[in-house]
Amino acid sequence: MKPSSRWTPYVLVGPAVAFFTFVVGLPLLGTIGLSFASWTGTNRPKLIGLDNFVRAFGDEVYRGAYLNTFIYIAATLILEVAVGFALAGLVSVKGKRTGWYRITFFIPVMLPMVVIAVLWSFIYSNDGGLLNSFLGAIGREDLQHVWLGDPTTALLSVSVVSGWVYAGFYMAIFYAGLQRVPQHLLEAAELDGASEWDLFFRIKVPLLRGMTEVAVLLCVTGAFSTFDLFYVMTNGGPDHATEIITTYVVTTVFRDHEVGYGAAMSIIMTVVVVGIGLVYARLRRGGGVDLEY
Amino acid sequence: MHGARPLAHRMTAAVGAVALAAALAGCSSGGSTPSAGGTVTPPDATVAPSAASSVAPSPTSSEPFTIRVTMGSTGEAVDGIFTELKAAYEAKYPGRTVEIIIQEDDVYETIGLNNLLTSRNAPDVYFEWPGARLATKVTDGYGADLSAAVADPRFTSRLDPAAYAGMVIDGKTFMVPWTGDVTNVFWYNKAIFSEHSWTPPTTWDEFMALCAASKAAGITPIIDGNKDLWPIGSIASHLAERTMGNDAYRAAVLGDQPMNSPEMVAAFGKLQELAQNGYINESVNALPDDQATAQFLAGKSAMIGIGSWLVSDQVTQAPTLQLGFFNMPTFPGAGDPKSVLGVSTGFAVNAHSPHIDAAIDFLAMVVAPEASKRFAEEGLTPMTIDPFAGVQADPNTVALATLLSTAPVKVTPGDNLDVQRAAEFYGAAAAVIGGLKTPQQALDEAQKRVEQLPKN
Repeated sequence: MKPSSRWTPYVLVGPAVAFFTFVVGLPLLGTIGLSFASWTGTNRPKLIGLDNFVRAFGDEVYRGAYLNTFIYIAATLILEVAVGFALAGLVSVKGKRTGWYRITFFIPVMLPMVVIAVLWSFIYSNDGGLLNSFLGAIGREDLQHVWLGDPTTALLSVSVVSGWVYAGFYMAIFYAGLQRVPQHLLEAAELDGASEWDLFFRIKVPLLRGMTEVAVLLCVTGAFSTFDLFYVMTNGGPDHATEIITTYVVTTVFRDHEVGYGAAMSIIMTVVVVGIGLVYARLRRGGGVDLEY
Repeated sequence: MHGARPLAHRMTAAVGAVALAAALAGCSSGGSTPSAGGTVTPPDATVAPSAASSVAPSPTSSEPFTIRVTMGSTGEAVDGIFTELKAAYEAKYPGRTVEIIIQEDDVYETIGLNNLLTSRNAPDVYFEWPGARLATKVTDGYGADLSAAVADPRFTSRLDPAAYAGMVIDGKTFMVPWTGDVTNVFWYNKAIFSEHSWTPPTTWDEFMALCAASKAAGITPIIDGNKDLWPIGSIASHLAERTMGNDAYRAAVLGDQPMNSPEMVAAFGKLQELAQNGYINESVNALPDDQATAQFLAGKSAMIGIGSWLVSDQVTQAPTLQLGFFNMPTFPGAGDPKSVLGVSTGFAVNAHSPHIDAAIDFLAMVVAPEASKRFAEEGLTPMTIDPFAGVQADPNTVALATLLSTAPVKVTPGDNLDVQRAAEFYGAAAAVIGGLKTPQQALDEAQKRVEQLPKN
């Protein structure tokens, strides 16, 4: 349908553009501006050129935060996406209680992250925590550990919690995809003698490729914006072993009142995330068979 | 807000991404005025307020006006006292009204005060910590020189010059003291000590022997929750002062001397001694301070290293528990064996306020005997002279206030000297107490990080 006036499209789009400009565009421009300045939040910002960026690239903790973030991404790709995929396969099996399983696995997604972080802090606690108590009960005191206080286990421990929460989310995505796999394909394969294993890995999995790519992208970009789980459980410690970019930026801005430096680190992170997204989009080109919607 | 708890403790605010975006985007609407210059000196307990400077005059208008007073919440009871003060002030000064702005304490400390100060309707009086934070406010043009005002008998009769430690910059006084806290002592469970016939130690060797006995009895000697780094950081600050002297300790934290000196390594050796012998809970770096406090109050350890605010926690969580405390045990070193680690808080007046005289009148009422008594009744330790006169206060609170007021040397915790450098210092202490690094390794790394910080 043709618009009645040449201004109609602009009028329709205008509110959304104005809103986006207000909540994203202007803060982004402000952050870019501050990244070239030294500002405590109360003084007059002083332009210092690229000093904040130079400092960020030489900052070992900031660089370490990227390493921790990438380790976290690798862990969550398995614990969230792969496990979510496996759960989707399991709850897709026709059975009496699969509906309950779907609900059960999805419940953690609905809980506030701060509540989850506190809950798991008690589970990991060295002083009467559930995990260590369980290990003690089965006679494996040798495995008892200060899970969140040891640099070798802290990051993985937090990643497990993240997996516990989001595996249900990815399960829901993949489950929705599995319901869209055309029945005639499955029936034809069954007639050709395909086993359940073949049906899953040779038909369902390839058809979920597009959905898997979206899930991976969500997982990777989501990892960069993770904050509350780490902040409550470890606050970046011990010895920066769980320091991720967001916790370090928050510390820099709110504890040290170095708003300009925090802005520079945020801009660098934004560039990295956008870069990853673009590379990923380029790798996705070529596609293949996908589900129809 | 909990009076003078360490700054780092207060930095554990549940700040979120929205607040981050707002801060990064620069939400301030008012123009800030740069400082007129001058060097900012760190807290110095030996500098008394000067009477030489003058206070900016208030407008002579007889029009009714409002002064705005802001602070973080210290709990309903104390917040209520400020409401009483508002009523008393308005009755005493007709035509003036007081607006009390109380924010959630963590919000106030992180972004609340900064946003208020840079807003178009900025507060006239604001709560602040002396030292690094106050120095920043003064440098940024938000601290009115109160030197002449505090020379008035309304203040001189109520506040000892020593109470202004950390509030005097370049010889000018920028704050009026309010409350104080001993930041670290070792609290002990009297029942456990009595059961094993243990006595509070006075020397480090006695302390180690006590810890060994406690461990042998199957009782965790010391528990601490160092997740946010300040509890062990405070102990490290005190150990450093006792080992190398207050001036050298301050110079190291302020960046005037290397942080990895042999003396500092020796001080951190005491932390290593605690860790290596298993005298402190293994979970020290994973445990939040409030959980460590709860476990101590539940009788799961013989001692805890924490500040004077434990009294209020004990009153609410374990009212029947009998507690005692002892100051940092002595050991050979260049520091004062009777030094006390403590901090104070106070109120500053906004240099941009059009009602500075009226703001000072309000602060005079804050330190007046009536208000002081009310604050003491609610468990605070006012910095005023004889704060507990006629007050039924907890004996431990009174003893700690006496300890602080009679200390020959008051040691300032690192995070009240320089937040960023102290963060590295505290991080090194955490690495040592957690057994992750040797004192030399931890301090070398801290020094390397400190050298990368921008110069003040």
